Amino acid sequence: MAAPEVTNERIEACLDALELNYDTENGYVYVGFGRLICIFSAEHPMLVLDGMWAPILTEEKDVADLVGFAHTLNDRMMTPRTVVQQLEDSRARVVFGASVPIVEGMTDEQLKNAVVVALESMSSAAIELDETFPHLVPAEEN
Amino acid sequence: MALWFKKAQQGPAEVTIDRIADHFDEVEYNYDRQESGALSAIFDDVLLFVGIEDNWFRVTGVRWDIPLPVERGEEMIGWLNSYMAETRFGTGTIELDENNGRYDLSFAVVFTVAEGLYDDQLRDFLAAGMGCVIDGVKQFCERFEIPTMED
Repeated sequence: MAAPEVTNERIEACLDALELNYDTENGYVYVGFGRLICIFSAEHPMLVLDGMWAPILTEEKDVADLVGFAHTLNDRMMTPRTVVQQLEDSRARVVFGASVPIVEGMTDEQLKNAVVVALESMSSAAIELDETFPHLVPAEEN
Repeated sequence: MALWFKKAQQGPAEVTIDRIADHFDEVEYNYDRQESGALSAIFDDVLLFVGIEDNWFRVTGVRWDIPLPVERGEEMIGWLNSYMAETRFGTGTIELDENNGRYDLSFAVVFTVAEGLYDDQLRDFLAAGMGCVIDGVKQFCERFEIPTMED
């Protein structure tokens, strides 16, 4: 392996260098931006760079509309991929993915680039969701 | 006595289509070069394109001219969403070709390579990308009971 192994500690160091606040719990690193929650972890063979849009979908129509909108986002944006994930009790939520293979490790620059791209692209997608589906955002936040 | 040392790679090198082509030559894959610069190849009955676009490494599997009625578009989008919810890599989308009234499927894996890649990393990206894309196209075609390539 030419590049150093990716670990959660290196992800945290990367976020420190970017001067971003984060929390760690159960092997995951969490970063929050408004209604976007990013979840990062080194889970070999991949660097998991996931995110989720906070609103929970409870209405069937919203789920159908979001599946269609996620498809248009996926068609338009290189990354992240946007998916509506079913939860229990017929609820659902929108999740994002920008994971990267790390079998051969990553340099600091590669890791930073992957993290920044994930943060920026997921933020953009989440903002589009906020703007397109304002009725799903709590009134006090609107 | 002469000693020969293989020169070590100094750092992650820029990812170019020629580096990918060199790898394909090394592992004896058959491929074509498209006018766009991308490489195209057929693996496991799936047509793939591998390209570099503005520091993005992209592997795309396609199934053009899906022989299903347009009315089934929503069903296809719903299936793609469910499939992606269960997998880690690969983004599947369909687009209606207004000329023939049929959907085209694109299943793509995209990774940023702005900081270059070592050779081993490039091989890993290719393996991960090609594997996921082939799986995605094959699973889609199996679900909708169509061949993976148009007639």
